[in-house]
Amino acid sequence: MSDIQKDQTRQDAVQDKDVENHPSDSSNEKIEIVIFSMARRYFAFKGAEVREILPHTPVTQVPGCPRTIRGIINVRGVIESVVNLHDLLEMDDAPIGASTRFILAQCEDILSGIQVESVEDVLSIDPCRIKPVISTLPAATRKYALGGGELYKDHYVVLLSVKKIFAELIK
Amino acid sequence: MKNEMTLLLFTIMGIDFAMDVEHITAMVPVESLTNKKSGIVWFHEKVNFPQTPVVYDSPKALHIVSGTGPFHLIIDAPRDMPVEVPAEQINPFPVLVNQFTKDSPFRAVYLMEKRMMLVVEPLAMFP
Repeated sequence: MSDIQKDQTRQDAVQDKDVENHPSDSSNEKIEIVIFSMARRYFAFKGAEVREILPHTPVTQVPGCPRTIRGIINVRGVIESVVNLHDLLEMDDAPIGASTRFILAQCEDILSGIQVESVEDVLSIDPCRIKPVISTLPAATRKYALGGGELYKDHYVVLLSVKKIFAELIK
Repeated sequence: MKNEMTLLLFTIMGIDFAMDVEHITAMVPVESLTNKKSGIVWFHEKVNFPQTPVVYDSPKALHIVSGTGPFHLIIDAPRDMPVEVPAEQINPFPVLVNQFTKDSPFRAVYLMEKRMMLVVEPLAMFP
């Protein structure tokens, strides 16, 4: 799927659903999730929290910002921040590659890019497939996790909360 | 904010900066400061620079007059001529960044084509 198709899919998929407090809700309504990978592990954000997926562009560092903020990018004339998810999840940083993407995520009135190594897919899943957070996850991952499950090609996927990530970054 | 700003553009370690020329009275070669013993400040010393060590390839000194006296601020690779910039090309920092720039001399971002330049308030460096 091309970036443009994914972008359109994202825009179509953005809905006012909230599974944060009900990760195992067994209602029949499916939810969209955006699956991405970092350090050979799979993660996801709720589609409702993703505005679009952007190709990588140079990031301008802003002196004084902590390591958790990579810097700023120009999104069609609007300046957006870029979150360093590697740092938040206590992972080694990865080199920029052809698959590097910014996931432009929104929660309440905060909008920011989040740099990931690769966006794998956008899926519509039954919320009951998302199980509570497992105790064996690294503590830094558990901190931002809503739940997880074998959601993508038999891989365990951790559903992360954009809200929790942004809350950590707001002083 | 003024309708138009005149900005001096310069680059340090690949990061582009823009400074309002209002408080800059002169730009002189660094070599001309050899006999000065005080009032000389390197730009990176006034901000928490992300990369270290900071290397200046073609440094110049800006003579800045503030309330606490004149200073020479050493910058790197300034463009030859300042640019007139309409206020609408000056953009605020996004929320997540803004909270960390409140106590810094960075005020906004000037978008020049695809390049982003951090707008510096010189008097915030020399209160």
